[in-house]
Amino acid sequence: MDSGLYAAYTGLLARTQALDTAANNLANAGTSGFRAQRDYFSGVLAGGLDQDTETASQVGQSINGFGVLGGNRLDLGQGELQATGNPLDLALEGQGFFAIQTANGTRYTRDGAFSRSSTGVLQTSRGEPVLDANQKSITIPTGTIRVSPDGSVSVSNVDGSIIVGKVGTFDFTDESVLTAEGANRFSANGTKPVAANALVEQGSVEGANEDAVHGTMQLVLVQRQAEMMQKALSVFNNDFDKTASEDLPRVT
Amino acid sequence: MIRALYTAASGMSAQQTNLDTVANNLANSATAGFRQRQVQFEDMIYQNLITPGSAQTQQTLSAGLQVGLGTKTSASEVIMTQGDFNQTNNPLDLAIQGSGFFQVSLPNGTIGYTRAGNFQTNSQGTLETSDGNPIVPAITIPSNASNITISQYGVVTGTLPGQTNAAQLGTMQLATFANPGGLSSIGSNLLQQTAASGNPITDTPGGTSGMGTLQQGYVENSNVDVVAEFVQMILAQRAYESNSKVIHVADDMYSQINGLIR
Repeated sequence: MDSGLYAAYTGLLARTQALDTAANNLANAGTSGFRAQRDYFSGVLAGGLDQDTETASQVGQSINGFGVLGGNRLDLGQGELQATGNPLDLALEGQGFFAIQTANGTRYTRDGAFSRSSTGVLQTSRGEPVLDANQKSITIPTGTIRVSPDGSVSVSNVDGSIIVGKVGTFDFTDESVLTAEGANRFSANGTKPVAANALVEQGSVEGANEDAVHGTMQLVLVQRQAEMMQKALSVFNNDFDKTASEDLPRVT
Repeated sequence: MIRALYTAASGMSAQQTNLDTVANNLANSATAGFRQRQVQFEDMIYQNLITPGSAQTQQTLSAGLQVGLGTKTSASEVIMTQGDFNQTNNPLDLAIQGSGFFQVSLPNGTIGYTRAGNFQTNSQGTLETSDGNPIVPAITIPSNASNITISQYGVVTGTLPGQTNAAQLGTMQLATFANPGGLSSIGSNLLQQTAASGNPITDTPGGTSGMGTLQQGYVENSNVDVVAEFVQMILAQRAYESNSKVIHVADDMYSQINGLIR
């Protein structure tokens, strides 16, 4: 029957999913180290596999091509740095992630609001140790803490100044292996990271890379596109079907 | 559709907590020794609609479709920066220049920790906080002693009547923690140790443990930066607003779908 009805329907469904992503991006606009997700739509040809496109006729392609939400990918752009003054708040400038040791294995994060545990181990606000380049935790004695841009942590107290460790920064050649897990963490699904050349900034936390302007624009777009799909649906649903079922039989 | 509504609601409630914290920081901007808190957010779990790397129509997907379910407040971190000093010229007012805390004996027998150094003596001459909790270790200053001096290393001296040389009346001790951000606030300018903060390390001021030194005649103000709090307040308000816009759009799209059936 009217394949346009289904095209408009899948389009509307895809827009509702796009709204979910836009809502999540905006809800996390205050989450440190949050990476926004960007949707992309893709075309699906109904009734056949994608590789059949050569054999399908032009008309067949255009009336059977449906737009669905193909997926979303992480926007890895830089978020703005917010100065906190806390010596253990670390922000990354440039591509890269901190590695943390969780109960489920190594996870990656850009949220550098760290603290020292009761035993002196550098940890996240959830108590998970932050790892150095060799995947080991870092123990920091009491004293004045200084973190240099390469991640080296030095502590000066009455015994003098010593370097106690180096916060590791990691990157991935293919960032699409990263999946968001919640709690500001990403899982690399077992992929081995490479060393990153991001700079560590002490006393700041990186904010989310979602800005209100982009988020609101996305909202307006999704809303208007959904409105168009709804209009198209009602044309099929009411005008065409009404004509077919009520007006045509009246022809004498 | 329903997801977007709940996601936006989570953003609104997180921003509410943010504003609550800003309000408390601002309300305590004149509280001696107060340490400001800052709310941290984290993203909630994700629904994997399409798993990345899964095979679909003979090609491997390079990216999946993950829909996040909103935000939540994860912690309110205590910011342990130094507050500025307010000169009072009161000989029993002490400010700590460094990371230490004064120790205070609470009525329930536990020890509280504070940065507020506006002390006074009670009827027996014991040095105590303005709430009447004696400091630890107890220091008694006889009422007839004059020229009370507290050195930067915590030695309390005073001149007793009929004597020309100053007599030593006691020595202050400070405490520090491996993770001062893990201390829990119990009100009245007091903090308590928790499993997260670790056990206190006590020492005399200026000692080898990096406690910091004392400054007599000064009280440390709060470390609340009023300008920064106002900026945080504006951010919280705007973020609340954009989340409420999401609810509006979700509601609008919902009513459009309902409008399909006439």
